[in-house]
Amino acid sequence: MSADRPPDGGLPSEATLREFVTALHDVATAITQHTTELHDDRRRGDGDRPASVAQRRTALDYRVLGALTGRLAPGGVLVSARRFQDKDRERVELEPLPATAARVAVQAAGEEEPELLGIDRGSGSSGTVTLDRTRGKDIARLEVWNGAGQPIRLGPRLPRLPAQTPVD
Amino acid sequence: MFRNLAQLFAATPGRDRRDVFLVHPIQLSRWLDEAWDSARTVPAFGDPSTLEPFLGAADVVETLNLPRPQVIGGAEVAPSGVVLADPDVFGGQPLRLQASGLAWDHAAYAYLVESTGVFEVLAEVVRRLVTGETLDTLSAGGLRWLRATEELFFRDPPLFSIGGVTSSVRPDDRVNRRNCMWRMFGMDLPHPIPARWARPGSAGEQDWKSDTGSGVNTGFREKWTELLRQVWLGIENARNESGPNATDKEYVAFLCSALKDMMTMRRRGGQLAREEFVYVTTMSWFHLTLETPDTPIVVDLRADATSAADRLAKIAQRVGMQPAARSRELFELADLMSAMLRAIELGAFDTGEKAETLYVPLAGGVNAQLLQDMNRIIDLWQSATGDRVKDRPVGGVAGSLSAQPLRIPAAPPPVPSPPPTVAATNGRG
Repeated sequence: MSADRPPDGGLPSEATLREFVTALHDVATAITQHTTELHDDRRRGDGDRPASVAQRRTALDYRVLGALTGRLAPGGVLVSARRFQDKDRERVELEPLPATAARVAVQAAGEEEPELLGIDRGSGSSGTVTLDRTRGKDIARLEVWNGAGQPIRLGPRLPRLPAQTPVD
Repeated sequence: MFRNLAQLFAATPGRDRRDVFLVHPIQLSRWLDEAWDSARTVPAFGDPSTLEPFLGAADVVETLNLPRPQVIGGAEVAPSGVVLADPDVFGGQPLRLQASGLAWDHAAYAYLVESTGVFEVLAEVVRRLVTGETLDTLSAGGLRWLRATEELFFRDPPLFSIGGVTSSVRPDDRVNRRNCMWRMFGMDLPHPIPARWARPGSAGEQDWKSDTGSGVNTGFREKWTELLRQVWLGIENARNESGPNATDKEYVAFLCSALKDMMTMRRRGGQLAREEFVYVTTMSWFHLTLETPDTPIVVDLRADATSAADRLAKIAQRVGMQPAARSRELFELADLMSAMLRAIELGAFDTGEKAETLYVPLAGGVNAQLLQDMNRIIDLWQSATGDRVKDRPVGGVAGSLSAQPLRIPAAPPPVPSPPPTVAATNGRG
């Protein structure tokens, strides 16, 4: 934390205040959701450089490869996902979601930008997202993000749902 | 792949990794098609704007898999019926996975495991067990292993299965594997094909080196060793806050990209995907046999030891053979290098920023696994191959003290290939 009281006795800067609020939010999350995972590694105090989003994604991808080949344990990097039709909506259920999961980035095959979706928390550790822009498309990558916008889990590739057979 | 199946058994209450050897070979053989198909759900890797398809072609798995039922819940083509809770029964359904699919190891895994000599040693064990009485009588578990091993790897594969990569146009599995490794890595196995198994009229190494055209990654070893050297330099300087730091992250990324380009060239259009799957599968069976404590055949051969390499050495001794001197390193390196090369191939380290994850410790231990694996790979590669990775450039020649070479390492000059065999002259000389 760099939020020391200013030497002139004045009010803390906006950046310092923002850091305070984020830290308090993490503490509140940790208390209410029984987790010790911080959103921002800069406050861990181990002196190492914080990872960028791209570096986090690289490290996550590497661990996922290790898990898929059976070398590393899948816990902590993978989530299961089930795509299903819910009346006129198309949804994806994910499990197990960590307590720090805030959003899901859904990347359709052939598109450059992922669709960011909020999570409807279900019972236990599951959660559901409702597809909008990616509806009816093959999903190539499914990332679970924490509150700081960092990828923390990866889901499976999900092909589009088969077309509904019309019923006479 | 059989190690993936072992992992699935181990995660099932009341079961363990050795239960793979209790499954009937017909189920194991059919399960391989299901394992191939399950790779359809492996996610794409990389940044959103540069998603890289697994295996070099997004649709190669779909192209070669079995047809799916016409309707949901319809009849499957030859399901394995493997039941994780009971390996001795047939469940009538494919083995469904709840999470992401299975990914198989990189071809480097098969190359390194076969380099230990495990395939030839256990081939000799199987031969002796089925042709005479020079080894001990087997237990029921050992007999199951023998039957499954012979049926899965020492006879023609079942028709129309994903494992069918031998035929009248490429009849020798040993030659086929060497062909794949030669194309992908420009390297041969350290041991020759044993005389007993060489085919009549064999032309030696030309059997797997001819007709490859220019599609051989002859510069792989030089580039890979240079990458390890540069990463070691990065590890040495990772916490260096004073004095010069010779690490060049962009050069590390450049080497990773060069290796990626080299390997993906061999994978264009899904080439070698099926061969890689089959060869990795084959070696994983033999690796699993030795790495798991107290597998029936290891117990029957009285080869109890604390590591796969030591078990291999004991078994080899029983049949008058000797495994590779560095088999301990090779076994350990196989897993680590497989994951690293797969990540490189998928463009995981294509920029300087991402390449730094190979040697710079990042806050919160984000890349701790990567750092640990990379350091271990460097140690093992140096020990296994004798390539000096940790040495610094020395000497008084101008430029020789630079941490990076003048140019990226290139392939050694090509060896002239023999004149091509004329397939048919049609009676015109």
